[in-house]
Formats: sequence, structure tokens, C-alpha cells
Amino acid sequence: MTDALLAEFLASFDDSQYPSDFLEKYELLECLANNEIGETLLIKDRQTGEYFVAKCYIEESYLSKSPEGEVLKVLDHQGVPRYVGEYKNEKMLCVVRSFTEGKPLDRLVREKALSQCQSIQIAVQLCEILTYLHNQNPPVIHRDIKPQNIIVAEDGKITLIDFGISRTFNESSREDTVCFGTRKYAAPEQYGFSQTDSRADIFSLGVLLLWLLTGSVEIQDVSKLIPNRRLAKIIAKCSAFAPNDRYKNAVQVRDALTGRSKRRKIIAMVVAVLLIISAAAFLFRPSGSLYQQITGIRFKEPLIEQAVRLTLDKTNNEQLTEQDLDSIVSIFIFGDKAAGDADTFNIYANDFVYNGGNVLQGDITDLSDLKKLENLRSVSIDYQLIMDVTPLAGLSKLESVDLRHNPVEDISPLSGMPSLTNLCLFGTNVSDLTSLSTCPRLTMVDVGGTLVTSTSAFDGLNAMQSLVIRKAPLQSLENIESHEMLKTMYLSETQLLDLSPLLQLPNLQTVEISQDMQSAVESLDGQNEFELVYQ
Amino acid sequence: MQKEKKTSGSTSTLFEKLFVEPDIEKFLETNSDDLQVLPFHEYLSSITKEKGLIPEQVIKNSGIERTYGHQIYNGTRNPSREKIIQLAFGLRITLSETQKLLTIGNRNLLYPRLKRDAIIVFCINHQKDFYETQSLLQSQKLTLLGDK
Repeated sequence: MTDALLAEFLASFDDSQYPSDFLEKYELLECLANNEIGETLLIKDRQTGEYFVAKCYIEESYLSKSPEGEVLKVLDHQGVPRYVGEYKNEKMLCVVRSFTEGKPLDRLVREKALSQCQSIQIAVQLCEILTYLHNQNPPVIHRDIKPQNIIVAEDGKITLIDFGISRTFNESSREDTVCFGTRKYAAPEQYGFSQTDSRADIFSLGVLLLWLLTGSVEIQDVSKLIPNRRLAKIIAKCSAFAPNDRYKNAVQVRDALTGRSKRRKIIAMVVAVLLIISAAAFLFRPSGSLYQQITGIRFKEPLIEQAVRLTLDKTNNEQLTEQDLDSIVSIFIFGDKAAGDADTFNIYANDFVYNGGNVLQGDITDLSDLKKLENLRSVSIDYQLIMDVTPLAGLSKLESVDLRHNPVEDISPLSGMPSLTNLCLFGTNVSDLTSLSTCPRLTMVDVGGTLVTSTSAFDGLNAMQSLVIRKAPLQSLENIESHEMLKTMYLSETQLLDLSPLLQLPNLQTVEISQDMQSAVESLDGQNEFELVYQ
Repeated sequence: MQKEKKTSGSTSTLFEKLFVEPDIEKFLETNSDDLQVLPFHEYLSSITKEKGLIPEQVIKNSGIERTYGHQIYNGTRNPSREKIIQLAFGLRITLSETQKLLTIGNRNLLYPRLKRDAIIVFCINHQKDFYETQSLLQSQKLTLLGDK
């Protein structure tokens, strides 16, 4: 390379179309997209090294004010980019926003198709974002929801980007003057039939979900493409031609997707009854908690608070009262994801089992927040860092405790619980359950993947009807006959060589084993009356 | 069966096209025949062979860590845009071939309106190697390849 050639090149390079203060502050690294309106660039703060995204408009009508900048300025949500600043000269306006690390949904799906469960999770997250946008005053309508505008981070969280054609809904306008959106994803009214409101985004959400599940955007074929009738119905309702036939808001879509809407009526009734009881109790209680009534209840563990709010359908801004907490009978958290109900929890749990890394470990160590939920009957807090279960001791109504994938060793604080029937300790460090001999109703126990090595770990647990010991280092079934109530046992992936002690269990109906336990089966010598089921 | 490779326009013509009208969609449309859908690592291997090189040489001349480079070649890693540009230097390929490599790797094209990309394009067009390019980027106080 001659110096002259290089010097000539550098001298001839002209980037004066960009505002000078913009170039001073940022290094322009990559063009993410461009069209006749302008460019979207990945940029880097020269001082801090932080990455941002800039929309640089060259189209004259955008130079004074960009719709995206105006919208982002008023928004503050983790699923929406953060407005950073603006730079302009006579030729260009550059709007800088935060950069989200991740992959656009279209690229992610191209690399690997998503499962139904993952697709629904994305749609549910999008519902949360749309609920936030549509609840602004005036509501913010995105109007360009499509895979390219959804960035999925490594932890599965999504960010909705490109508010370039979003608008705030103006009640007085009869119709949109400009036709925008992306064909197939845009609602019919975006082609100028009438003014778009939040239901235009609901339409696109339906098309997006169809695409996630099938790869098609042909909404008229939804019933042929989606065998699951419930899902097909939800998508068809989202993307009905007439806005009035669609879901009224994103909360309704979310509830339909998570199955919450079906149970809502029942829950409402239960909650109403509990509220009446709690209200009565409140009237006759000492006034010691007045401070909490004014300030709202505080939680130590954010994930527990999130699960409580999801169960109650309360946003972060709404105060929680003691009456609210008294109405809670179940709590569901799997890893870093809190859930409002059992169905959503199961989606996360299945996702963890079948898709591995999509659910991250949660950070809960302290269960003392649960003491506030006195009416809890069911606790499912899995894949956390919980070692101490003492706070559960005072919850006398507990029927079901699920603490899978926690480093718990000592479960003696659960001893004497009168109502405890189900206990799931899969993947914990528990090795002994004898302290639970004082739980008279404990019928279902899962100690799969624990450190249980012998049946003596269950001494005194005489009510057990179902026992899961999968993947545990159990050496022998000696003395299992003392648990004569046992009906079902899960013994797959154990090293057991002799199953003959099972022959002494009079009520045993089913035993699950794995294929590699064939030699253990021979020890039964065909005398078993119970059924052997292979995993 | 893959389509036969269309004879590409000269590097400078493409470069000019990009300078005059850096509309990426249009570029892709116009050059669609060149952009067959192939897994990136397969295309990388084929172009390596076509240039009479072996992966070891390309990786070394790209300034990419050896294990990482082989993972790109065997398809266990999807290279970033930066790594693909580095590979382009290791392969000593033309600008249009670099843009094609980026397209097959599903990454954004070089965009010569931006100074850093323009310098990279200049270096590719003048057969500069990876280390000369790094040196030029450094002299201009721009982010080095692989540092992004």
C-alpha cells in the first residue's frame, strides 16, 4: 500500500452527511438496515465502549421530528428500547436508542425451529409488552409487529424494536392518513380502511404466532395448519378481519394462551369468598399492620413477589395488601421464571426438561416471604438456590411442596405438617426423610435424583402410596414391605438388581423401570401381580 | 445441485454500486444468483479449496484463534460478522466474494458509507492482509477487527 494511495483514500472519504457531534461521540460500526427513509446503524460510544443503535433519517419529512424518537422518549419498559438522545444537521436526524444483545426472531427460527412451548412463551411476552404500550395515555400502537422486529436475548427475553411507524392513538381521527406496516402482518385497517387502534397489533400478534408455529403467514388457513383447535381458535380470533371480532386487548390474548381465562371465573369466585373471609378477619384484628396497609407489602425475593403479582394479576405499580396475600393459595416459580398459574409453570418446567438452556436458574435463597402467604396450600419453587426450608414450617395448610432442583439437604422443618400430601424433592441433596414420619397424610413422595441410598430413608412414612426414586443411588429394596400402602413406584435408572422385595407389597399396582433393568426383572421370577411399565 | 456460479461484476463496479446506492436489499436482489443457500461452513470449505488453501492457513491468516477457527469450519460455531470479515482476509478474496460470504453467514454486508467499513473495503480491494488492515484501523482510532 503506498502512502499516497492511502492518503488519497482517506482524504476523499466523506461522512459529513452525519451530524458532526454524532460522529464525535460515536463510532459507526455496522449498517443493520437501510432504505429510502434512512439507515439503522450499530454504533459504539467512543468513551464508554457501550453499544447503541441509531436511526439516521434522511427523508425530509422526518428531519424535524422522528416518530420513533417521540414514542421511545415516553416509554420505560424492559421489553422496549430505551431512548438515549438525538443529533441532527440540515441533512440528517439521528435518534439513538439502547442496543439489545440477541438475535432477531426470524434469524433465530431460521437457525432452529422453536417448539410450541417456546413459541407460546414468546407470544406471552409480547402480550406483556403490548399491554404496557396499549395502556399508555394515549395508547401506543406499534403497527409493525413481525419477526424481524423482535429481538430474542440468550435468556429468552424479548425486546420489541422499530417503533418507526408506531403512533399514538388519537380518538378524534377517523382514519390513518398513511398506509404502513408489513404485508401479511398488517391488519386490514392499516391499509386505510379505518383508524388503527391497539387491535391492529393484536392482529399482527395472531399472524406472528401462526408463523412461529407453522412457518406460514396465511391466516385464512389457520384451521388447516394448526391441529390444536384451542390454539387455532385463539389465532383466528386475534387476526379476525373486523377489529370488533378480535380480542379487545393483549391481556385477553395472554390469558387465552396461558389457559388463565378458563379458570378466571372459578378463581374469581374463590378469591371473592376468600376476600370476604379476609375482610371479616381484618375488621377484627389489631391495627398493628396499618403501616403495611399504607406502604404496601415488601418482599425480599423479587421472583416471589413477581409470582404473587402474576397470581393476583397485579402490575408492579399496584400495591399489594394483606387481603391480596391472604387470597393466594398457590405459588409457582421455575428457575428465573415466575408463573401465575400451574399451566404456565408447567410450560416452563417442560421447557427446562426438553429444551435445556431456555430456563435459567433462579436466585431465590430465602423463603421467608412465604410466611406472608398464610393460606398457601401449594408451593412450587424449583431450580433455585434454596437450602433452608424452615420458613415453610409455619404454613399449616400446605398440601403440596415442590422444591425440585434446589440444594436442600434438611427437610425436617416440614415435620408434623398435618395436611402435607405431596412432596417433590427431585434433584435435591436430601438423603433422609424419616423426620416426616409425623406427616400423617404424606402419600406421594418424589426423591428422584436425590442422595437416598436405602429404604431406611423412608422409615415411618407409612401413608406413602406413590414413591418416585428414579435416578437415585438406591442399592436395595430391603424392608420396603413396611410401606404396605404403596400402589405405584418409579424405579427407572436405578442400579437395583433385586426387585423381589416388591412382591411383599399387597397393594402395589404399577412399577416403572427402565430397559436396562432387565436382569432385575428376572429376580421377580414372573410372580408379580403388579404391572411393569418401561420408561 | 448447486447453480453454476454466475460471473460476478468486477470488484470495483460492485464497490461503486455500493457507494452510489448502498441499498442492501437491492444488492441482494441484483446478485441473487450468486447467493445460493448453502450452510456457511460448507461454503467456507468449498471456497477455501477453490483458492488452493487449507483451513489451517486461512485460520492463521485471519488472526482467529485456532480451535475457534476449526469450529467454524466444522459447523459447530456460527461466526460473527467480524469473524467472517477476518476469514475474508485469510482467504484473500475479493470484495464481492466477501459480501457473498457475509450473506451466506447471514450477516450484514460491508457498508462503505461508514468509515470503518470503508477502510476494510479499501484494504480488501488493495489485497492488504489482516495485520495491515488492523494497523490501518488502529491508526485511524477505529475498533479493530475482532474487538467488536
